[in-house]
Amino acid sequence: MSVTSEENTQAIVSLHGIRKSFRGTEVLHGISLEIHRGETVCLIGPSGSGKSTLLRCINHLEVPDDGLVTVDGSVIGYRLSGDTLFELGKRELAAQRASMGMVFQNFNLFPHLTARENIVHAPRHVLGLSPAEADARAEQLMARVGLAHKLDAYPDKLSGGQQQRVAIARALAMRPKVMLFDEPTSALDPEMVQEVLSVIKDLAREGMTLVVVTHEMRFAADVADRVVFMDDGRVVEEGPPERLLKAPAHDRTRTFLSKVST
Amino acid sequence: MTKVLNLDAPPGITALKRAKRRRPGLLVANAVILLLAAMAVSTILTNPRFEWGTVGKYFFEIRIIKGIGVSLGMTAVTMLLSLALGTVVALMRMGSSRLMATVAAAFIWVFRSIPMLVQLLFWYNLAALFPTLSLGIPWGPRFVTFDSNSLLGPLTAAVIGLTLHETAYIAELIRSGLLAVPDGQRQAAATLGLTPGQTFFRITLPQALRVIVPPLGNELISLLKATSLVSVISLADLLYSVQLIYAKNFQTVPLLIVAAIWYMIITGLITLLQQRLERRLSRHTLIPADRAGKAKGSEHSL
Repeated sequence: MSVTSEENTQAIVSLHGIRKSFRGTEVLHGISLEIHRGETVCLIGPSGSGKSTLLRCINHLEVPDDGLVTVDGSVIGYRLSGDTLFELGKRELAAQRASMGMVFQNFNLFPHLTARENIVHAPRHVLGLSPAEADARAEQLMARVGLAHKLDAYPDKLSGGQQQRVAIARALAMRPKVMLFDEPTSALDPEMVQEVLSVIKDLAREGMTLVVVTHEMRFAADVADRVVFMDDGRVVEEGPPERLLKAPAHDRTRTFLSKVST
Repeated sequence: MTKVLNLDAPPGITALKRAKRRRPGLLVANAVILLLAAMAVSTILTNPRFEWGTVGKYFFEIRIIKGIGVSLGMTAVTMLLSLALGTVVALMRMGSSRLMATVAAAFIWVFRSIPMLVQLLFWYNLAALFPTLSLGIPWGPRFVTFDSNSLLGPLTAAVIGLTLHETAYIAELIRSGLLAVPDGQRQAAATLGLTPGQTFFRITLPQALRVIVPPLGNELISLLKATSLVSVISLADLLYSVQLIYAKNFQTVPLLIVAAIWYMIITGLITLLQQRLERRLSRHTLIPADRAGKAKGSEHSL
C-alpha cells in the first residue's frame, strides 16, 4: 500500500467522548481527540489529570464507561454489525490489541524470559511467525535500540534504560499501527533518560504514530507534532509545541508549565 | 583516661598485631551438642532392643516394598489430581464470577476444616449414607446407577479423601503464587495480544511457580506421610504392611524403624528434587558468582 498525502492527514486513532470513573469518581469527563497517521502527540499535565488513564483507554486496558475508541477504522472492544455494537470476547479483544504497541513506566518485561524470548514471544504465538522469522526480528530490533550484545540477557541483568529499550523492541516486534508510551522515562535514573528518549525520537522521525504521556517538556518540544495539555480529566488546550509550550492560551497551562520548567 | 596512641608514629597502624575475638560460649555449645549426638548414636547402636538385625532382615521384604509402592502411588496420583483441581479452584476463587468465587471459598473452607482421618473414614463408609450412586438430572431421570460398596473400595475412598483435602490446600498455595505476580505482567501480555490462556500458561504461571514450589515440596512431604492414615481403612500401604507383619511376629519397634527409615529416604529424595526444581526456576535471578559456581558456561545455552 502506498501512503498518499491524504492518508497522512487521516486520523488513525479517534477518541469520541471518553468517560471513565473509578469508585464513583469520574476521572475522564468525555474526552474527544484525534491522532493522525505518522503523528507524534505528547500528552502532558499534572499527575492525576487523567492522561495515563486516557492512554490506557485507547487499547482498553481501561475500558471506558462511555464513548468509543477507533483505531484504523475498527471500534476497539466491539464488533459492528448492522447498527449494533457487540461487545468482543477476550480473545477477539486480544487480536485488536496486537495492532497497538504499549510501553510502560515500569517496563514490565517478563523476568523469566531473556530479552530475545521477551521479543519473540508474541510474534511467535500471536502472529504465528516461525522461530527463524521471529528471531530475525528480535536481532534486527535489538540492534536498532543499540542492544545487539544483550540478546540473551535476562531483564535482571540489564539497567533500567536497557530494559526500557528492550520493552520498546518487544512492542515494535508486533509491527504495531500505533505506539503508546506511558511515562516511559519516569522510572529511570537521570543518566538513562536520554538513551530511551533518543530511541523514541528515531521512531517519530521514521514516521511511526506515537502517543506519549510524558513529563519531559524538552522532549515534547523537540519531538511532538502536537502537545495536548490535560487537567482534571479534560483537555484544556492542544496545539503545536512551539505555541502551546511557549505561549499557552490558558492560565492553567501557564501555571503547570511554570512549575515543571525550572 | 586510657593511653593515647600516636598511630602515625613508626611503625604505624599497619604493624599492629590482631587477635581473633574469643567465643567461649560457642565452644561450650558445640561440645554439648557433640556429647548429645554421641549419646544418641551410642544408644541406638548398643541397645539390643533396637534389633538392627531384624530391621535389616525386613528392610527389603516383598510386602514392605509393595507397601512402599502403594504409598508412593497414592501420593503421586493424589498430587497430580490435586494440582489440576487446585489450579481450577484457585482460578475460580480469583475469577470475575462472584458465584464461582463463593463456591471455591466454600470448598476450601469445608475440606480444610475436616481432619484427614475423618474424611478417610467418611468416604470409606459412604455406602452407609448413599447405598447406591447414580448419575442423572436432579428430580429427573437417572442414566447410570452403581452400588456404592463395589465402586468405593478402600483405594478409591483413600484417593478421594486425600485429593479433596490436598486440593483445598494447594488451591490456596496456587492463589498466593498467582497474586505474587505483579499486575503489570498481565497488562504487558494483554497489550502484546496474548489471549488469557496464553497469558496464564506462559507468563503468569511460570512466574508464580517460583513462589509456589517451596511450599509445594512441603505439601508433597506432608501428603506422603498423610497416606499412612489409610491404614485405618485396611489399605496395605507402607505403614499397614509393617503393622501386618508385626501383628504376627511382635517385632513392633524394629518394623516401625523400617517404616521410619523408608519415609526418611523418600522425603530426602523429594527434598533433593525440590531443590533442583527451585534452582531451575530461579536461574534468571541467580547472582553471577552463584551462577558461575553452579552452572558454569550455561549462560547462553537457552
